[in-house]
Amino acid sequence: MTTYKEIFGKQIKNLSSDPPAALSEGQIWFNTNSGTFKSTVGISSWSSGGTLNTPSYGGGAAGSAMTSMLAFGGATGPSNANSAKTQSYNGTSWSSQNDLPAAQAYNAGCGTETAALSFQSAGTFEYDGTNWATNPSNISPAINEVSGFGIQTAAIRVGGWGPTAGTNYSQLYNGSSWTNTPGSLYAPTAQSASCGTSTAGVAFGGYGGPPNPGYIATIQDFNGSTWTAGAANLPAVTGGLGCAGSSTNAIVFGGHPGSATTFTWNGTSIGSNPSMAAGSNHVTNGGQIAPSAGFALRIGGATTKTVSEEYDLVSTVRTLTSS
Amino acid sequence: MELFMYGTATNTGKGFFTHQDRQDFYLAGHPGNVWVIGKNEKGALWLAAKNGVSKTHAEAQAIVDAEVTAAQEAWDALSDEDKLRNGRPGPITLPYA
Repeated sequence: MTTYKEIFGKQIKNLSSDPPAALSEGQIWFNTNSGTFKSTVGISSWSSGGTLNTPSYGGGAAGSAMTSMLAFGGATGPSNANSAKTQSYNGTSWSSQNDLPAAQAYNAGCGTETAALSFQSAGTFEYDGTNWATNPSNISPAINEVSGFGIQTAAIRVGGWGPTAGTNYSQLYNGSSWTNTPGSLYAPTAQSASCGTSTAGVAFGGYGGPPNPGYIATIQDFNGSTWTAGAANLPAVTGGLGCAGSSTNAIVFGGHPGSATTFTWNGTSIGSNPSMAAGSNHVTNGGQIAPSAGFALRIGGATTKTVSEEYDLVSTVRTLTSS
Repeated sequence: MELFMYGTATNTGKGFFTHQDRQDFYLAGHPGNVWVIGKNEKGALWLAAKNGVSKTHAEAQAIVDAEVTAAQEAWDALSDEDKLRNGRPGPITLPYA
């Protein structure tokens, strides 16, 4: 019979107690007290986050760590009015910050908590960690339901809502002005989710056009210049969803019609992932996925306006069984 | 053997459900603060700890149906443009097994 040492080159250690999960991912040991083989594996899942101060959906978000996230704009209140509210998240609770210069809903957001960008028809706004300032340059045409990704000085605008359908506008913001990228979107869309950098991005789904509901399942890749069809589609048509990460390591979550589903995207294929606890469309998304320490934050939603959920990878000690 | 139990509980934010909870039992939230919970000891303890109120499947479904109906009526009152922006809320059928 082949032994573990023959396969791996090392013997399994005998330990009287389990090592800390955070320090033992991927290791296998024999726990002499319980008489069982054990290992630490990384398990990703969603857990509840803090309750939003201002209920909202369809807003923008920015941030680079679970303890320093920012949400701004969106639709709020019983009348679903556009909101100018800004809220920051410290990993436990949300607190109010200075308002946007103008109310925005279905706006796009990107950047970090101290260098964020928000844009849609009401304007392009830059945040310095304390205050928002209006930039004279704005997306053109200035329409709503855009999505976007990148950083404050290198951001990409994705589509937006035309009179009756999604559009194929793609524009680059360099920190001072917007210009068209060489190529337009592969598929017109509004309410898409997008993430990545100005040289490597991806957009998921969105609203293409009537008849209602005209959502699409298309995944579109951006190489810094042109948009092309992704190597796969979403499993179902959807819009108003969220995503976080990069063009080759992202998670996609929520969306019409009130979905709690979460998928992974590795640049070529879609994978399944644990669902959120509460589904919704028009979630505001934020977060980054890194190979070593990924996280995402789902913020609000059309039917869950005060809810946030945290996604991350938790190291967990598991007993190995033969089944 | 029944796989699910049902209850209402208000999501209080951080810590309301944890990574461990998600691994210990099935959990799905629905309109009306209705939760579908995997039927095991840890699921039952979670609902009790959250001051939740146990419901039968029919009771939970009725709460969700009322919420969906209200949402559909609100959607029907929207302008044509807003209707395009937001798909009409569809029915939700709670799992029963």
